[in-house]
Amino acid sequence: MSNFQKVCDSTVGEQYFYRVHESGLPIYVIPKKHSATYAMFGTRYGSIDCKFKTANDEEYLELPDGVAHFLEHKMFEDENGVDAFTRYALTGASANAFTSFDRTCYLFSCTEGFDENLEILLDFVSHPYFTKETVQKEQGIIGEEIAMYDDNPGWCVFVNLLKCLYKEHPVRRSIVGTRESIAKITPEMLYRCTDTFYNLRNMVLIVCGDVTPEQVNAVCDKMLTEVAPVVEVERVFPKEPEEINCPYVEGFFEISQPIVEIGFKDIPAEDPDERIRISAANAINMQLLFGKSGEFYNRLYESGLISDKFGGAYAQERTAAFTEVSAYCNEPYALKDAVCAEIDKRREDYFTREEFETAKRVVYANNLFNFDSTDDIANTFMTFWQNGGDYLSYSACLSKIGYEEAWEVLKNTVRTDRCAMSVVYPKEGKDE
Amino acid sequence: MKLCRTELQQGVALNTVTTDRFKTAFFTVNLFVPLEKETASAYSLLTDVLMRGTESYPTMQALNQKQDTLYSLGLGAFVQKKGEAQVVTFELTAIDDSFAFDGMEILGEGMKLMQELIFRPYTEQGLFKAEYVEQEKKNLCDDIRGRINNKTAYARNRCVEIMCEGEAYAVDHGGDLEDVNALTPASLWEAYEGLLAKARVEMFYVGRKGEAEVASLCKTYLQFAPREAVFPKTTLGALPQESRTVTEQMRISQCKMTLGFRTEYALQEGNFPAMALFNEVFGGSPNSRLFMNVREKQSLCYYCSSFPDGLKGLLMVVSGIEQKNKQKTLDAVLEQLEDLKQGHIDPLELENARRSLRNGYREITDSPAAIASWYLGRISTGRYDSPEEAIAAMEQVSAEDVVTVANSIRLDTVYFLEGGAKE
Repeated sequence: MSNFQKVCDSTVGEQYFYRVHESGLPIYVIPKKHSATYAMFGTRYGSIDCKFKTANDEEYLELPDGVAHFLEHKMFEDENGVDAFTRYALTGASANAFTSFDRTCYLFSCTEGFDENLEILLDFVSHPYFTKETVQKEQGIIGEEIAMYDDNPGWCVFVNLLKCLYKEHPVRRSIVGTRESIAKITPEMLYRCTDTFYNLRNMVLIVCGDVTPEQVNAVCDKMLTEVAPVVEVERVFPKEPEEINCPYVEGFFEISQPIVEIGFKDIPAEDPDERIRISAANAINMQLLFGKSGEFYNRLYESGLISDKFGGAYAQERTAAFTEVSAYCNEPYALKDAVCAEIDKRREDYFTREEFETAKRVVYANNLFNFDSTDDIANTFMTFWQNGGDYLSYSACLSKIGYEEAWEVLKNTVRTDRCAMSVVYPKEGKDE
Repeated sequence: MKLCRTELQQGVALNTVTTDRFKTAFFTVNLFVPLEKETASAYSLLTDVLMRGTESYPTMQALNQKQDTLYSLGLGAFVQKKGEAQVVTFELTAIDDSFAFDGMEILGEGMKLMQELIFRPYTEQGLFKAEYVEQEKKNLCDDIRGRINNKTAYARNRCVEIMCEGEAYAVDHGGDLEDVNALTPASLWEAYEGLLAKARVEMFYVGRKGEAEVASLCKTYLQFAPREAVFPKTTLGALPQESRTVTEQMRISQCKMTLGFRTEYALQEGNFPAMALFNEVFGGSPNSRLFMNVREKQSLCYYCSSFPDGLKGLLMVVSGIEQKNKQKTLDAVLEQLEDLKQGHIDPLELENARRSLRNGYREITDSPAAIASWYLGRISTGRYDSPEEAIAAMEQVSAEDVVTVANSIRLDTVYFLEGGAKE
């Protein structure tokens, strides 16, 4: 045992192994007897990290929109012009990467040659190589990716909602950027980002599948021979007011029916354990408020205001948190009024204890469903790690949430005085 | 991950895959009927109306509340297209009984609920409740009109519709506006009775329980009468002499290019492994010709990929591009096909494709839904190879076979969905 710490959870019947590698990289291994093994190498660096400096830098660097995502694309190419996909082709692994607000992740899943695949992953993500030419070539490809998102009404309605909820916070900025913003990207800029954020101490390796912790550690020993320097990074987030930015935004698309997103801004807690407790309580609250067995959903469905394309969720990360209700609906204002009225009513007059217990059981079971997929497990682990928490403790945390406690969380975190609505309408006309 | 198949009744079969890999149970009842314009809309609407309530749980809320008590039991009804068959599917997902903390028999309870859903719908005066039918007609029409929302899927479906005009395959399994609007509680009831009496029934279970236990649960809770029902046949269309180009407009920023090829390769023909390997080389992965050349070398797009329909023998290529690059992208795709026709396949390229395909097939065994879907797509052909058997068959395919595929497929329809319509 190369001093891995073993953590078990008996409710879900799973365990994981954890250690910090000598190089500084935290490693999580979740053994699972599946055909494919899933590995994810991620950094705490996403689109919101757009103004920063390290202790060694004189000046803050302010990035144009879309740099973290652009960088993700470019990491795949090495100094010989060889693409990581070409290297994976020799092993048969299926590889990918993604960038979100707070993270960039590189991943593969494979059914043979795990060690070799992990070597490729660790190698290419720790060896950035950018030139003017390779940067330029990518602009065409990403330009088409941007155009694809521009035609996606579901994505645009969400992005617009964030712009309504936030005045200063960079979640309001585009992850992929625009053709204009990505034209400003230079190799020097990308190197400064990798120097700052692609430091093993700011990264994590999560492996889920039929592997042993020792096996993973041995590959890390081979590939990560240098100890990452301790670099202090200062990320600058502008002061975000508690109030929303603006209550309403609309857009027009070639679609058949309006798509609506209603958001309620919250202020995330400082303490990671507290954030996880609030997430667990609000998972139950969302089931109670907007679940398909609830009075509210059924009343609106039967009245014809909504269809089954309806849902509510609470989203939270370290620097931003909000409740989001989405629907396909021809009368956005009527829906907004109904949702706000329901939240206000339930803040005063909460659900019954029996309803609460049933909702808790539903959230417990839904969490269990997640444990059948190595990629769901690894991705949720990543989310918890980002938040400073531990996925396997979630089930126990959930079971501890009490009736009064969940009610209290609802009162404090889902507030109708911080409500905004984003609608995209068909280009033909709109609801007045 | 071998399939165990039992005939429960004439025309009614249970397919079981027993594995302790999962914490959940996945169970579906699939009713196979021919895909026909006359009935497609009715069966599509039927799945929505049945979900509104049963005799014991007459409202959606009552039904959903019951599901909650069964540890968030998932219950759904929907239609799928498998070649020229329309499949009406009832799907159940549940946590395995061993994870219930009160000893509940979740699967048995779930099947009982599914039995109600299928055989004892909520009725008024012997028919579906008129209000439910009206509301679901409206919702379904909204969905049908909503097909324009996803431009990639819309462009692909339009291409198929144009290419297969006059064939059953062109019928949309979700229904169309005119036919949905014409349905009444009485005509829907008639369709419902016809479906239950005539359809070929295929049930699938993936989970921890053995075949005998599941069969016994089916006998207790889900009895279907015997029937003389065969699988609907899917006809491969004739190879076209030449291709056509169709361009349509929508107010969008990115142009969608979809190519439809006709082929003589299909699961029921027994020659599909060659098509699977060809597709992997051509446009099936990030190491394929299309990704490496059209995207990486020429920077023409973010995605450009190909995928076969194993029952209808079609091969589709999809991409999102700048409008001014239409001809350039089309040429780039056809150039790669031409190169393969000439036999320019590197041994390493072929080995890479094999590895990638092997990986893809093996990954199927990690998801209950993917396992059931794998067999559901094959069951009508009478061949139900496991993913491992499909790998073994693919290993036998040679470079020459791949070149033969390249030379035999025919471009039928080039479809562009482009921007620039009136603002």
